[in-house]
Amino acid sequence: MIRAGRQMMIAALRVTESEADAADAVQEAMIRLWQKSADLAKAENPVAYAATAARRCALDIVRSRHAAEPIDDVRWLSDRRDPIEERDSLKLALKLIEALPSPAREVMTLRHLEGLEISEIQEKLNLSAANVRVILSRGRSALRKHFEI
Amino acid sequence: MIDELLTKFYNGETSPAEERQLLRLLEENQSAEHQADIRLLRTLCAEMPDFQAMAAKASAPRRVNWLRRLSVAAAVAILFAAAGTFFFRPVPQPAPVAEEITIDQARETTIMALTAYNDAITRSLDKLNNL
Repeated sequence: MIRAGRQMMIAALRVTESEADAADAVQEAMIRLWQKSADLAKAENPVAYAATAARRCALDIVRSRHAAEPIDDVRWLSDRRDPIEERDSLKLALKLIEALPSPAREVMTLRHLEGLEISEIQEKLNLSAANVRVILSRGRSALRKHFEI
Repeated sequence: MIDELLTKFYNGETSPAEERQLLRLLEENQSAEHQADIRLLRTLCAEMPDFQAMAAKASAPRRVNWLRRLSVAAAVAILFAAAGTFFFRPVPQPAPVAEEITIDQARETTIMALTAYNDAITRSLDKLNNL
């Protein structure tokens, strides 16, 4: 549940402009998934299915906020988004981590957003534990520069 | 302790619990040289929502909004009554000779009409409730 919840939250955060909206999208998606639990049970990848549901709910929320303006693509949203305030820490974390180059982006996403252990990251990305630590080290040092005044 | 944990953190060796401990220590210390570390850790250690609570809320049985049901039922009953009046309207008869009626007779007639109307609505609501 927590693992799926994190995936849903990340999917929603990529679309919404705030953490609060992302949380609302996840809640709404969970309600819809509960009502259509038979569809979820049939899904090949239930976690991905749930994340897609969260993304759709997030798009609904964004559309309702910008009802007068057309939305063709999520990239349109990123062009017009205001700078993220630091109190929206999850949103900021997602933005900063996704701006990192590969493989730091993948390792930092798995570790800090999806909450995986080093051993799980090793298995998922086919890396050694030492490799994962080095990549985490580089990623964190790179992100620290963003916070230096 | 702080320096040791910071080194571990930037070496990619800390566990999530150690990262939270480091953030707590840095926030208690609040030295100028560690402000960037504090802000970074706050961002990376940001809490996710309580998904268990969300899931419990999603699966909770929905409360029925009886007032809304009743208002919908009343609207439908009025439509049925109006439709019934239209389809079963009496064949126009020659206008009877107007006769004077007393106030009591008028009152009685009105009460009978309202009672019949109320009965029709009640029957319609019963049918809707049994759906």
